[in-house]
Amino acid sequence: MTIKMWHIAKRELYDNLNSLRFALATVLLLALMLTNAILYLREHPARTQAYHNAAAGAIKTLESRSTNLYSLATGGPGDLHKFPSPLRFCAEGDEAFLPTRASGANYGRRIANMTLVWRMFYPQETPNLRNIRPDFTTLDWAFIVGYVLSFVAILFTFDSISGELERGTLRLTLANAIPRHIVLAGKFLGAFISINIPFAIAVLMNLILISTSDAVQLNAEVWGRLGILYGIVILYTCLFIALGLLVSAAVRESGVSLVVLLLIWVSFVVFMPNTLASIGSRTAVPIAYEEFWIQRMRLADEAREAYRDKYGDSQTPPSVHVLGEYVTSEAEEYERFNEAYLKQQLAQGKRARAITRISPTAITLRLFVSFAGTVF
Amino acid sequence: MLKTLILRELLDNIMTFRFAAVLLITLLLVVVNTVVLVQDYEQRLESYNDSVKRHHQDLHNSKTYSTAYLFIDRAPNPLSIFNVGLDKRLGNYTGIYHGFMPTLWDARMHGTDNPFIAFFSSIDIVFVFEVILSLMGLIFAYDAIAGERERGTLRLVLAQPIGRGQILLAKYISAMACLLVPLILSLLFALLLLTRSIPLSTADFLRIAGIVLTSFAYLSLFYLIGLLISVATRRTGTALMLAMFVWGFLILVYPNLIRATVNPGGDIQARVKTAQNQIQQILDEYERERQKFLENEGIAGEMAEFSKALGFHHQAGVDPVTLTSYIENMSVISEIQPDFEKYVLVAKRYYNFVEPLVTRTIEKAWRVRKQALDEIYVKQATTDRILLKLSPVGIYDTATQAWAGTDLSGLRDFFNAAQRYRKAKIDYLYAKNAFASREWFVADKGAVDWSTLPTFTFQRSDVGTNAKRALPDLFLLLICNLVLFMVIVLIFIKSEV
Repeated sequence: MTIKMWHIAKRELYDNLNSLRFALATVLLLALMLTNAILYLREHPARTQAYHNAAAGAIKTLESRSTNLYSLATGGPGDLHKFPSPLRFCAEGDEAFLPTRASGANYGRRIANMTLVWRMFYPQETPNLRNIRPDFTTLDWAFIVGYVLSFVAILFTFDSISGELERGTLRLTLANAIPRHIVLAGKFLGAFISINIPFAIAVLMNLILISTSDAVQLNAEVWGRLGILYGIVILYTCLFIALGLLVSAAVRESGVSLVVLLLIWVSFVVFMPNTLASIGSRTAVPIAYEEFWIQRMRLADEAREAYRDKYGDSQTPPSVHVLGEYVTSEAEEYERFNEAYLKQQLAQGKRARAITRISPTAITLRLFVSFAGTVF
Repeated sequence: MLKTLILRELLDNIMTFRFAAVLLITLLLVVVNTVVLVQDYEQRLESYNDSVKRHHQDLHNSKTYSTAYLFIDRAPNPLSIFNVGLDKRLGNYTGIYHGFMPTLWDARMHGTDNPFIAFFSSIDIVFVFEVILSLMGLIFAYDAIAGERERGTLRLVLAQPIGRGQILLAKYISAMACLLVPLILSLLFALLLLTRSIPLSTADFLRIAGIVLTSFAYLSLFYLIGLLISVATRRTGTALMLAMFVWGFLILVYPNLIRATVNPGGDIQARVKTAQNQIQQILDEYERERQKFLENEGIAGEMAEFSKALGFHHQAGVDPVTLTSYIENMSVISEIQPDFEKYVLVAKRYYNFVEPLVTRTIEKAWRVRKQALDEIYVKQATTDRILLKLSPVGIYDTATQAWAGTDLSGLRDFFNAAQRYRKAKIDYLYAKNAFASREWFVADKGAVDWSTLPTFTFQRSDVGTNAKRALPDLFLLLICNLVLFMVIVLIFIKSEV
């Protein structure tokens, strides 16, 4: 039986290899993957350089502050920078939108002639605020797989059953005493291999370009992650091949089959991940940043008023203990408040992501971002 | 005869599964997304109103002229529901201060701007159309000729005494009549949902009409691309594959490939560096003149006492990335020093001399900065847009943004208004002789009365301006349509049946 299945798969494969769609898919995927590699090689060294510069600057600040404990306690350790993920060509993810640093610094408030201690905060940044270029989707692997490869998978499978039904060749195949499930499995296998050939070639070219370049070094861990990502790609394509076969078997005409598949594809791949995210994010809206800022200022003012009410506004504190207690509690309160706000923002992000899981594309994009290390 | 043909085609098109499916999915997507977009717009409007209130309060809390916090806000554009463009991305409030030139590069953002959901793109109505209308056009067109050729009905039709051009025309008219149904219906639903909660002016309806018109042209262009493929291929299977890959390339791939283009501005860092140096020179020159004035006043010797008494806060600089150049020159006086009165006269003279100088310096720096920013950022964005127009999606997107006023020019209108308002504020300060007044730096003899300050109003550009910005692209779409139709007729006439 496996031999028969293999026969069908092979026939399917030969049919595909000579077809127009195979050639077009190869060209399309190759062009995308090459662009991806070129863009990455152009942008990533600059990113790493920026990181190294920032990190060196941060270390210098830290060194200058660590000459004595007082300046370290008041100034704080300075900025902590995130190392740009080497797998950013797989999924740009949230890295493009989130601040790449957390600050451990002071905002210069004083009490009783003494600067307060440092506190940790995650800055609010909008990296696209000055971007006047048109809207682009990043051409990362996640996009190529999530959108383009699934589209290609549909184009390879929409007529695999209904087409044979129309041409009448299905009767001939079934007349040869091959069970239907074997025919189906053979078709699945054939489609799977013929989709994976152009994709594998494209990925290979992409990786050859990236790994042979001097600009980036990929270590063993990165290759391991790439292996996992390829596994995810296989699962994802299988899903769309199965969907294609399902619709193709359920519908008698290939024209109708394609229309059904395209509409499913458009809704699940293009619209759902974004529309559902907007709907989901509306169920957990954090307070506005300005409001948060005002509240935080008020909190600090209140703490200071309380201190003044108790100990007066003298330049010399009643005792070091009292001042120390005030200073630490104020910093803790501040951090607690920051964290609560960050949690609100995160909760909204999580809500938006939770609801999009209806779409397999959103799940795959999430997996890509997670394994590429560009997740928040 | 043409009428019979059109009717036949119309019937053929309407009684298909694909028509029903396309109608359903378009309505669904447009309605769902419109509901989301309207809610989003309302939230942004609320945030805008809060911000206006807060900024109004801030100004009226400012007791002296030099420490006045004057901020203006940009209202969300209701037509961003159709094409969001840059409306949500660029800053929506900016400070108005004579030592600073408000531009879109310095504007900041108020409202809930959670970076953890920035990953998701916002889907506007035009985006739905971009994807769906193009697919619709191709699905309806790919078998128009190739299918009839395969079934052999084309010969029968051609045996009748009608020209080939007429056959194409009949097919085109009937298919477009069919395709317009989902477009118009979904737009009607969207407008119904929209007008329930957002008041739209007549001008807005005219702009929407412009968007609809552009959508027609876009839809028709994709139908014609499909028809071209159908005429040029012998089999429907091939036509379908070609059509789908053309769609994938034009919609999914090409617009994103443009990001890979190199900035035409050349070496950005070097350009920024030279501009920064130029601006720094302008600022240095200002500083020299300021010092000279202080020396002439004989105050340079007791600068420390002078600045302590007046609570001087003086800062000038230029940002190494955005080239934002500013001069802050103010007095923050929390308590009056004993020797304060001694310096009041000098301070009045000082501010009266320095503040006009600050204004001039910043305007001079802005000219340098504007040129640099235009060369670095605007040029790249313009090149991107031009390259984008090689795909019909790019033309459609640019044209609808122009209609909606969410394009770069539309946003610049606001910042130009902000600059005019800065001018108006400076004129107001001159008229009140504020620079030489005591209220400029201290509020001990009464705070500043802000009630006579002209308020900032911004009207979006009129429909005529929108049309002027959108029409070139609309014409481009129409010309593409015309040329494509002629090419199709030529190929069809030459082809064997």
